[in-house]
Amino acid sequence: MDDPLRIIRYLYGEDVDDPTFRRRLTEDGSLYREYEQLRQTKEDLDRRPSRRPDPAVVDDVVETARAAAQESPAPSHPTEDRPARAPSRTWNRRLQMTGAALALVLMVGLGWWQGPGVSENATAVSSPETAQRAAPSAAQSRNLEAAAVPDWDDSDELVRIHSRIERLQAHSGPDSWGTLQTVSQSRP
Amino acid sequence: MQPSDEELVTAYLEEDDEQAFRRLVERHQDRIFGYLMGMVKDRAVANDLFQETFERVIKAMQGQRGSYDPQGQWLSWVMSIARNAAIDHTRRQKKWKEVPQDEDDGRSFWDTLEDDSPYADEQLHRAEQREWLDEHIEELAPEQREVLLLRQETDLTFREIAELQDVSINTALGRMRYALKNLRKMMGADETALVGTLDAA
Repeated sequence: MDDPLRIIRYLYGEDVDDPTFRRRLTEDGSLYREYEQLRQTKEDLDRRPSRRPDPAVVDDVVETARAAAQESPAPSHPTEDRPARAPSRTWNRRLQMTGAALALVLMVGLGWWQGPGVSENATAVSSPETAQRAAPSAAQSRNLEAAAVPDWDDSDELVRIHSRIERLQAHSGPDSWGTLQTVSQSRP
Repeated sequence: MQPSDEELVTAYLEEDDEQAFRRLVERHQDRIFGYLMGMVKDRAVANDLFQETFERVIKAMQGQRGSYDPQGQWLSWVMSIARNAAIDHTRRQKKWKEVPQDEDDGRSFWDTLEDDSPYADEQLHRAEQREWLDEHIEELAPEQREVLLLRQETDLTFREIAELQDVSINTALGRMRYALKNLRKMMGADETALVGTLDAA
């Protein structure tokens, strides 16, 4: 590379590690004069204030970046949980039938447990202590039935009616009806 | 410790971190916008091109257009897009023979308001100096001007500039050398003219 071109790189800090060029720069008067002229021009350029876009433009750019990031899928993102799969109709039906069968078994079981036959059997096969506990409950039930029937009416009027019915039954024997039956049988 | 460009790019692409992208833009906005301003010399157009550049950048980064290489230097890649946007604009301008209606000095309306701060004079002087230098840069040959803007404004190395312009590094260095020398001549001529004017007064 020619020395005039190396001046440019040296000026902009891209060739600062070459000691031979630095020595040549100090030894060669014309090369050094050119370097000085270019350096002053660069200093004038460096002193220019920087210019930047309007803040609203930067805001618009960032907003565009945000919208673009939301629109495009990012493959490196951690995968989200898979949404719950909707249960299939077959499984729904199986669950419904199983539930209905369980409910039926439960109802039959309850009925069997609460039914009279079962309770009697249960009493029969139960222990003596259980039988002892069951005995007073049977007596109690009989007392309840007796309480439900009205008391026997043994007043004089009722006794008189009863004895009259007995006399009438004694007078109305089968012979008194036998003649009539014979007559009716003799008619052709 | 500041995160590198590549770390910020990764944060944006893999974590949807828009603040990382904002940091990238704010870190390099002066370079990219300075280059665009130097190329088009119109603040409103430079703002548009800045936005257009980043729209292309975002599309490419999100995989909608396939020119982004995560292994490369992000800024030099963005600068190649900014350069294409500026070239496209220049072509459109030539095609439609657009002529700017107003002289634009690169300052917004708010910049033109008077400033009462103690640094106002200094800022005004620097702005005038910048304007004066920009006028001279505009007079450079286009290829010299572009190398000068890319090196001064964006800090790309001469090797990166050579790749961007698809020329050898010696060609890029030669263009820069002539750009600086011609600029020195113009500035010297102005100073001579200024001294002559003062002497005559």
